[in-house]
Amino acid sequence: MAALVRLVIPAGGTVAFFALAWTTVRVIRPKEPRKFFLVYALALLPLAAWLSTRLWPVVLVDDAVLLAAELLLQLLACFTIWNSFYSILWGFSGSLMHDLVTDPAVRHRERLIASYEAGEGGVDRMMARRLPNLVRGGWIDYERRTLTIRPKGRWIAMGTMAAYKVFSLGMGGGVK
Amino acid sequence: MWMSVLLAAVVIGIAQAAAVALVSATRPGRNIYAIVIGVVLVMAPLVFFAGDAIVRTPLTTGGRAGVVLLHCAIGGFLFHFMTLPDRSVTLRILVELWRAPNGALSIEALDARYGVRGMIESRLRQLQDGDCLVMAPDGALVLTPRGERFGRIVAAGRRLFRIESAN
Repeated sequence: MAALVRLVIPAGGTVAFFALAWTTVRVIRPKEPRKFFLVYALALLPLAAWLSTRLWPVVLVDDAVLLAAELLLQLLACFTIWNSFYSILWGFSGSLMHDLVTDPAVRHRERLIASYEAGEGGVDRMMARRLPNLVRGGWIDYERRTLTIRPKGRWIAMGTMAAYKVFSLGMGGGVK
Repeated sequence: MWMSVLLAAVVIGIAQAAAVALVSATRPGRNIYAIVIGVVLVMAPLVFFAGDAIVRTPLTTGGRAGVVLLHCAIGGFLFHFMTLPDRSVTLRILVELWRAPNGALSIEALDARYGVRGMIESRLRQLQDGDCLVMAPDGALVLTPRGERFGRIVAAGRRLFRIESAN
């Protein structure tokens, strides 16, 4: 029970992360919020470690294990907020459900597909948001409507393919 | 002391990943997230009783509870990690390019391998399996109460963060 009381530290760190992330996205409106999220998640760790060791000094291995668990749980909670932000609010299924709830006109498979096929710059909505990020990140080249993978992208693709095989995920990418 | 904790975390992470890989190989098509949660829950009591061996130091009950918390946190990261290969559209695009001759595809060729139509049809089937909507034979989409809630949560989240467009 005493060990569980220590969870108040990661809980506080998580609340602070959410407040910082929310303020940043609403006020600064950065193009890439994930960079801010990374800085906040990492910066809150030493703060949590300092506070925790003031309350519960590390004397035995038990204390070190509990401190490591606290910090990892805080990082996990921050990452859960981060991942929810991108996967649910920006993700494909979340976007579909958002469209279906807010726009009754697309509550038909063909009309919904048509609304996604009409993108910008000659590509569909699915590609329109991702292509610029892939090019800007140096993962691919995009010229004359042809995408070419770059060495950096090749490594990521190989790692992803390995994960597909190791965890029997089929071809991933959200397609079942 | 810190090296013991670090090694314990590495051992737990490898054991979890190996167990998830084994279970998913023997049960293809099962929900990978349910497998991760199941593995973490089944392993938790084992981790508690094997805490001393994992950290290679005698621990108190509080220390063992700490090892279990560490195990749960690592399981949570494994859960999140799975969303990358399993759900990410961007990673699948990179894989399709990597598999293509010379690592290059036209937009049209990529669309034929992994296009928006197939993607939406697949996601609609998954949302139907998840009791979020019903697809009528004529293509009409009817939201279930659960789907309404999900959509409203996404809409509220977007308002909260002032996200104007995403897909």
